[in-house]
Amino acid sequence: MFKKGEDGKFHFNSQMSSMLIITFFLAIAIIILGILIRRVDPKKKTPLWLVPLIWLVSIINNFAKQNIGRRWKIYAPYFLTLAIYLFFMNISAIFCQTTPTTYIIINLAFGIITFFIIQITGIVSLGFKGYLKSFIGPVWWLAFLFIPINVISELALPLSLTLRLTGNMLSGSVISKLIVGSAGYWAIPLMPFINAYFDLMSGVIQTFVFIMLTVIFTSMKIDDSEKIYE
Amino acid sequence: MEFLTTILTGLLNIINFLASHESGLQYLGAGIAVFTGVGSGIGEGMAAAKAVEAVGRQPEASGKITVTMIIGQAVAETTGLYGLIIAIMCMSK
Repeated sequence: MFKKGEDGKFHFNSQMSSMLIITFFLAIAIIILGILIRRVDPKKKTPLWLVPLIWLVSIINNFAKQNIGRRWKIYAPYFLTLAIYLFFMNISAIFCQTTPTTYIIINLAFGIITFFIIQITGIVSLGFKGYLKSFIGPVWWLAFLFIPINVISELALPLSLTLRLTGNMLSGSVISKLIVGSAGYWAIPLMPFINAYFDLMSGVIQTFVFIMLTVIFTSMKIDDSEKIYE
Repeated sequence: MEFLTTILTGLLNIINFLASHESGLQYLGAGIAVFTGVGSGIGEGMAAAKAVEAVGRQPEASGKITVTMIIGQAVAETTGLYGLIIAIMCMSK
């Protein structure tokens, strides 16, 4: 995260600094949006700029209702925040920033948060005894076989989420660096297409996949009886 | 007999050369590691083919089929990406 520079001071690496820039601008944008939304009069006609935001929030809400069930209100804000943050981090190469998600530590942070959300959901939904019992497997005398397998499969989940995101974004950035290095001035007409494919398309798909896998793995820990919603 | 010793010394020379220039073996290892992409490519192609068949059979469910296909492909892609990450680790040492 920190590198010691030639002047003896510690510096951020480029991914870290671009992540901080994106976080700063997103925070300011969201604060301004919050102030603007608070001023909107709900009795009058909805202003046009608010419509896409309402659409986005309602998509995430329906999505959480279908998959999480009764406690969807706790989860939906996290999913939307993660989606916005990951989206802007994945496409940040088109703002002339280094893509922060090529750095494995940043993705590991998301993976660890997801891991804790999944485990806490399991404890809350199944109860502590039921949560421990879910590791034992179908029969008690095979527990010595099933407990290590279950524990490893739980621990591998955030790691595979992390490596999937890192590998996808890293491959795109490596290929675009190779093209910039080898094509010379021809890179100027070529790069928009490379950016459109490797940053926009791949970034949107990876954001979507990350959110979907988080939701699916969370909903696997929840009883089916909780999922019926109105 | 002399022929065999010539070959053996040649082989030993090659092995010594490779061992003394670590970077060569490193690039070879990176190339072999990237070969994992073959399996994930075949798997993703199979998923896409089945999704096309399913959309042809039931066009009204195309949205759900696409979402399921993308998630399945992303999971199948992971094994290929492990190879890529190991290749990058080999190269960057």
